[in-house]
Amino acid sequence: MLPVSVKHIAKSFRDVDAVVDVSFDVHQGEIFGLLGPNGAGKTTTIRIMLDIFKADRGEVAIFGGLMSEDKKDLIGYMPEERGLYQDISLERGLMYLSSLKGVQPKQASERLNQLLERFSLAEFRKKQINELSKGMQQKAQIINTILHRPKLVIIDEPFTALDPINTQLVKDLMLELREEGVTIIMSTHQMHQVEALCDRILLINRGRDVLYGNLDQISKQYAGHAVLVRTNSELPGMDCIDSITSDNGSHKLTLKEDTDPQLLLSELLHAGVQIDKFEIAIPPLDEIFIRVVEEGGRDA
Amino acid sequence: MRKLWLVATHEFRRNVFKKSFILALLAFPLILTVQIGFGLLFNATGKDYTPIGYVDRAGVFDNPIAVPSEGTSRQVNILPFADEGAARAALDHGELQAYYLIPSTYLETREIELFYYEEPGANATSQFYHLLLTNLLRNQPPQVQRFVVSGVELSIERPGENRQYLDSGPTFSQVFPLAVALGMGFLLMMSSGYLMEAMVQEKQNRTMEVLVTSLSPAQMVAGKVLGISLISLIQIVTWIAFGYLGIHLARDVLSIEWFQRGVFEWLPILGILGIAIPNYVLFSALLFAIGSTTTEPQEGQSVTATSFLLVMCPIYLAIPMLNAPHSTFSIIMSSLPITSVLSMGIRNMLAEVPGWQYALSISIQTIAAAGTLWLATKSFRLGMLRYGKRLRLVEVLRRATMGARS
Repeated sequence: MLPVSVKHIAKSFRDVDAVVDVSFDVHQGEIFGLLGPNGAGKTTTIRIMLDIFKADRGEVAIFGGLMSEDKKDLIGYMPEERGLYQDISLERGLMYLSSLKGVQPKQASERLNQLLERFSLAEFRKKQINELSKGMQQKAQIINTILHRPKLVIIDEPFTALDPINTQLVKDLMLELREEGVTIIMSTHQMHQVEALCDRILLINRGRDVLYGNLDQISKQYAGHAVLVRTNSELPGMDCIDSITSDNGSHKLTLKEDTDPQLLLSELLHAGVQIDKFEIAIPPLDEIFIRVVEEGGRDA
Repeated sequence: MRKLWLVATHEFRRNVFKKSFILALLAFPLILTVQIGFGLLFNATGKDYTPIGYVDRAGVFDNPIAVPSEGTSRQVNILPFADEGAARAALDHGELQAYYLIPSTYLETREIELFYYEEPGANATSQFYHLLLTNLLRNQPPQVQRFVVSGVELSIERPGENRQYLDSGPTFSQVFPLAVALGMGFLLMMSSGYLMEAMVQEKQNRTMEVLVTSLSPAQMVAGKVLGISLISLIQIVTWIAFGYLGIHLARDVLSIEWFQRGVFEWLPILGILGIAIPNYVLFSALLFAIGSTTTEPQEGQSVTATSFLLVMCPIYLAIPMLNAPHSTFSIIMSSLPITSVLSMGIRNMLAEVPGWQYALSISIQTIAAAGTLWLATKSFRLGMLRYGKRLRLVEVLRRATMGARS
């Protein structure tokens, strides 16, 4: 049973098509990245999944069926920006929201204490949310999302306003949750975090799914025809090489279309080049993102 | 049910400890206290309860008789003196505020002398003249004495009713139901605003999104309305306590005559409270529904202002209701949701509203409150699902009834 299965959903607001056609599945115990430029339809997709909005067409299945009141208790949702009561104390706000998820006060209190300690917020428990810094508020939101031990976490921009130490804290927490079998859907613009955390991704652009699948496979798919070579020797001129550029202490060799990288390696060795490192050039996700979005833009 | 109760207690705790709520809670009785205080102060100005004396050389007060009094308001002691020397000595010692000298020629000249150091209180001189008139008219029947002393008191009675209306104005017991109705109307407008405010805040700070992923629309709407209703209960109880204290003070301690006139009737008070409570739920649910279907906060505020006009509209239509408190129009106004509370208060000023009309109105309000609560749940759900799109009432009703049939 898939935690989330979305099939061809669409949603428009007045004259704006927020989501045109989006389909994807999220597997149990994975961290799934929901990516896309601003206004691509990510948040609308999340809201449709959570039954906050009704899709104009398409289907959403949560834990194998329609959203129900019981299933709501299995989900932790963190909207982008705020989502907590601003004018009551941190502890009271979090205890209240966890009680709505069906957690008993004693259990909620114990877990809240642990999480407040872990996120260095214990001393601010009596402060009102609006008295906390943005980073603290973000951490409070994350605590609220996982306080009731959900099976599915949907989290919009989890690293906003966090310093590097707290970013690492949240990353460690997400990896821990994955180890425990929790499914996480993460929407973010921070591609390096996606590369570090996500197993699979969906890229949405202009309300459509434009890239979907395993992150490693996607990276290889967009690797192009280039290799990175680190050597102190001078590279010989070869017909199979289209161009050579320097890339962070290495040489990036763009190959002609019919050239096999293994053949190039053997020819370089045969030519007496001392090779320290030889690898297929994998483009960073930022680059893939930009390429896909720009291509999509051109197609539109 | 547990989640509904959690929402209710949260809303209650969130609002009841706010400074704005505490101020609003105390404002109404405070304003009343200040007004009554000013009234008492104004009334007390120029009064002096130090005894007043007289020296009767004309024999007017031989075998004196008392003024036939109906009230129990505080009286000034009027003391007779055998000679002017004794009266003067009492005045010099501060035992009297003034004394009258009635000369032996009084019955011919109708002239009387008043001696004082500081001008005596108007209550004292007035009381003395009433006593003098009564004793001059000792040979006349008491009704004639009363007529001459107090003047004419016109009493109007509607055919078929046992209520009397004096030309000196309505009695406290006639006005009190209207005061209760006005208080309830004020409460209705003030407290339901909390719900609208909470709704707008939760929408703006995205807490609403977290809430709707935790509980059902029905739990949320009913929980919030229940929480706000509990707050209104606190207000009602507080105001009743203040009201009781005020009435007790005015009637039994300060002996203000107006509070003592007429027989206090509980049926109108209980009837109006019975109508006000479901109306309160109805109004809260209505504002919640408006808040959930509007796309702009300003739009919600303007609709809310219009709803407040509806609550107050019986005031503008008071004249036809006062002219004919038992007319079909008056009965309809006191049965319709929202207008019923004030209409019932206005009708009570001049008529005894039959018990069945209270029962009818309470039943209508209760059914309407349940219906509005149901509609609010549906419109909230629809408003969330169709976020950003304007919702029309017809559409809400159509979708809601479709949902109810399916």
